Amino acid sequence: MKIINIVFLFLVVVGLALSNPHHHNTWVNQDVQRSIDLTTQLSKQILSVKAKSLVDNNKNYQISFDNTYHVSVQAFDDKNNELKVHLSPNSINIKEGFNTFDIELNNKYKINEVLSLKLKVTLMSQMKPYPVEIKQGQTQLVLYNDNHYFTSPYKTETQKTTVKLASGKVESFSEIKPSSLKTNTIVYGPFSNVEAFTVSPMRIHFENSAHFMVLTQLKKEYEVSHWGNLAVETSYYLENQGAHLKGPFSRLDYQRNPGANPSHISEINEAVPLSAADFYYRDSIGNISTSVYQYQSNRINFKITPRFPLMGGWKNNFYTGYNLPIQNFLSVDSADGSYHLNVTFGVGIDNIYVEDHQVKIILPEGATDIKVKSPFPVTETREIRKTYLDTVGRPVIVLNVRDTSFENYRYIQVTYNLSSLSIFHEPLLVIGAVFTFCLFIMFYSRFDLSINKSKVN
Amino acid sequence: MALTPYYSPVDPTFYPLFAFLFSAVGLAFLAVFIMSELTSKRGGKNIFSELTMALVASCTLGLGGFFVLLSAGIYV
Repeated sequence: MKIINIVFLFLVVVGLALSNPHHHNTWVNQDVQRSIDLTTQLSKQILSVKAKSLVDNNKNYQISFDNTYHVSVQAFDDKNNELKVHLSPNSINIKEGFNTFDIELNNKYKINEVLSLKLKVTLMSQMKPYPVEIKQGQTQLVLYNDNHYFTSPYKTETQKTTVKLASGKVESFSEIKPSSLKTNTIVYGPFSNVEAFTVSPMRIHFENSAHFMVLTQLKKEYEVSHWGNLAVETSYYLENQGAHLKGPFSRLDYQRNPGANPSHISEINEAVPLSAADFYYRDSIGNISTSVYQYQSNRINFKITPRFPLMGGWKNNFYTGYNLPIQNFLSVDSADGSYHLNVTFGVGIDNIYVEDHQVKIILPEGATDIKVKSPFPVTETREIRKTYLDTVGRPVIVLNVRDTSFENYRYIQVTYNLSSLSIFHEPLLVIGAVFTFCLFIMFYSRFDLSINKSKVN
Repeated sequence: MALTPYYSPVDPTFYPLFAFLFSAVGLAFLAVFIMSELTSKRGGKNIFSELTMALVASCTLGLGGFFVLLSAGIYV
């Protein structure tokens, strides 16, 4: 019996291997236009892809990246609907050294049918300061590494790449025919008939005085209260990963001309929802001297000015918090009474790169059937937390993702059920405590604790 | 499926007022209860009226304490 099972399993495995849908000749890229924006610390790329299907019933398009890259991908079809993107389960088997992502298309493509896709790709930490150490007052040069070609598991017929740099000061750039540099734009291509997984290293060495503001760790906590509040607390572990400061920091030179050292971080601006109130901030080393909340037409700008500017390689840890009115974020489904919570994933700091991103959502005590809907893959774990007036503890959803940038602004939805009586649990606990005290007084007044026996008339 | 915004059963702007009112009334009830407990003679006690007074005092003072927590920003 066992042998039959093993043989059957073997046949299934062989069958799966033969019918593997991820072979590389399901598409051919007819034209790829790639524009790379290197004006910040991130490499923001917009790709428009026209691909022709080579098979029938084609529902899956793939893109690849070198597996050392930290990458975020968003895909849209020609009607601007967002498509699901996830790391292919057999990415390792497709090509060694590459991470291959699956894009789930909305409809099936017939043979010779043409697909047009728009991809938004963010490469994080592909730009490295070079030299790695600069003196105060020197400008920052960075070295950018990428591929001249669109990395694809399919053959690409024609393609062109346009790179927009932060400045026109280019020390050097890898030349490949045809390529051209005009002020701050480098154009690579058009190239024709590039085979799948062709890599030709692109290296651009140029001046970029953008902030290399990296959150090595970000912890965001949402605490839901059905008594009308959504409490938000965020812990930031900020690091300036630009060129490190060589030699001493001179406050005098800095104060005389703050603009001379453009890559330092002198302030941190975060967009906070307009309905936020009761702000606070604390930090571990007493570095932050000023924080201000500026009311703008569509948001509150939360600005922190550290006492010392963050020079290259310097760090700062702090946490902030505020309260939001629950009605803007929590909805109730009139059909089945379930609750839907919509919150953003990260912080509203422009062009921030988060290495280790954690979001905790603390739901009210007694929440059941908890489901999390996220537009990108997350690692989900659960824990229990006991705070004020809790008995069994509140369910906590912990979401972890590594290497995020644009995901910061995206919404996650949490659905749960909660009995409508359970919000009276907390006031009843307080009432019960006072009632117990009253019972104790009744009990006490019935005892005679006097030393002398009182006379009974 | 129709989603409507969820509102708190009590408008949060009333929390400080409720905290004050319920605490004041609750403390008064509790004071009356304790006074009557400690002054009434043994044998002259009626357990039902005592329990009623205890319940009224604990309900008002309990709600008062609860709204004190809410208005102080401890959203339970």
